Formats: sequence, structure tokens, C-alpha cells
Amino acid sequence: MILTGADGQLKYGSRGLAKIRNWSLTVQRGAIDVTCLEEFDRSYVAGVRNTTGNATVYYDPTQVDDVLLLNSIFQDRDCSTDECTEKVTFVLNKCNFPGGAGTFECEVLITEVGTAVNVGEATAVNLSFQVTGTVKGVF
Amino acid sequence: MAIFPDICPVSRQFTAGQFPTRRFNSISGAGTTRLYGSKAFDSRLDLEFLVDNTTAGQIFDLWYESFGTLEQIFLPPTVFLTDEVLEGKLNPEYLEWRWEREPSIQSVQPNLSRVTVNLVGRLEIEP
Repeated sequence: MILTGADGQLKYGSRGLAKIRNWSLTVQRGAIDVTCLEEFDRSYVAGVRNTTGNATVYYDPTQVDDVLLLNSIFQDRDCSTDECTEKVTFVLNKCNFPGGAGTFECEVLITEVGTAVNVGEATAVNLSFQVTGTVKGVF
Repeated sequence: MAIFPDICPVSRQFTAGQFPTRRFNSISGAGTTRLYGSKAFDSRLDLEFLVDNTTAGQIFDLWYESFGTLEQIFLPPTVFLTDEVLEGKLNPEYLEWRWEREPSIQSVQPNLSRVTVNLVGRLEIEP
């Protein structure tokens, strides 16, 4: 079974983000070079993971959770006392088709919010995420 | 006998020892250099290892076992030079390796550390 964009979702807040055009999530793992002086081929051990993502949200001022997420970049927070991250869930398989999980829950920092308005196009906002901590979920 | 763990470094730098010479300059600027011994001494070997916690612990055990800079430590071939051509030229047999300073450790990630080792080849007075 091949899933499509219709099976995807991005959840945030109480009701979830309603109008998402696309999202992406990239999990990278560093490779640490441990090649000895005597070797002619490089050897590596696994480094730490880094996860980033981005999404495009159609701008609709009536969607409370959408606007809340977009405005989170404007909030000045003291991370020693306040919650500094947003809990976002990336969903590949919202209908729960059997054979895979496809849900990734993570705490993210919004690192970039940008938009452009064009004649004849629906206005959308691009978001970039930096995931902090572990991504909970598997394919 | 303090024996260094049989591990391969990721970085190695050898500096040849110096000869015991002294320069005597006259008031005119001309001078002469005298040689007080026939053996170079105090060659240096700087090593860097990327190792797990167990191996890093073995290196630090060796520091305590050899009482720091006091006692001689023996290097396996993997640590020094495996090239037979260079080994005879760079590592005179009369020199004894000792710690130049205490080893240092830099943690990279869980169970992976970068350990720096600085050794010096001492010319000891024969009893």
C-alpha cells in the first residue's frame, strides 16, 4: 500500500494544524572518523543524531492552533523557567493503515518563519523546525 | 613494568631529541660550540587516541601505575612507529619513554573520548 499526502498530518495544539500544504522531517546521524594511522581505509563510529524539519502552512487567521504556532517565534521566553519548545507530531499514516506506525512526536524550536504574498496564489507560511531531544516514533 | 595499551593513535607527532651542546660567544661575536655528549635526548612523542571508556581508563591506569613521570613506560609497536625504515632512525634504543605530562581526556559523546598523551624520551644515567 502506498500512502499519499492525503494520509499525512501535522499535529500541534489541541486540534492540530488544519491547513498544511507540506511538511518534511530529516533525521541525520553524524559519522565520527576513528581511522588509525596504519589504515588505508577510513573507519567511522556513529555520532549523535540531529533532526530538522520544515512545513508550509496556509495562512488562515481563524485557525487558532495554526496562528499560535506561527506566533511562537515572537514569544520571548526564559528557558530556565518557561517551556521553550513546541510539541509537534508529524504523521505519515493518519488513518492507521496496518503494517507501520509513521508517527513522529517531537519537541521543536521554531527557527524560521517566512511568508510571501503573490497575486493569484493562496498565501502560505514556511516554517523551519529544529528538533530538540529524541524523536519518538518509527516508520 | 608499565606497558602502554596496544592501541593505534589517530594522530602522532614525533620531535627528535637535542644534543647536549653549548655555545660560547666572545665579545667580538665569534664563538664556538662544544658538545658534551654523543647521544640526543628528550625526544618527544605526542599522541592522540579516539577510544572508548575502557581504553581511556587503561591509559589513565598507566599514568598512576608509572607514578606519573617517574617510571619508564614501554610502548608496543602499534603506538609508536610501525614503519621499520623509520623506527630505527627516529627511536634510539638508549632512550626511555616517560610521561612528559599527565594525560588529558576530552569527552566526544557517550563512550567515546579523545585522549591526548605526551611522552618524552629520557636519557637516563646508567647505574
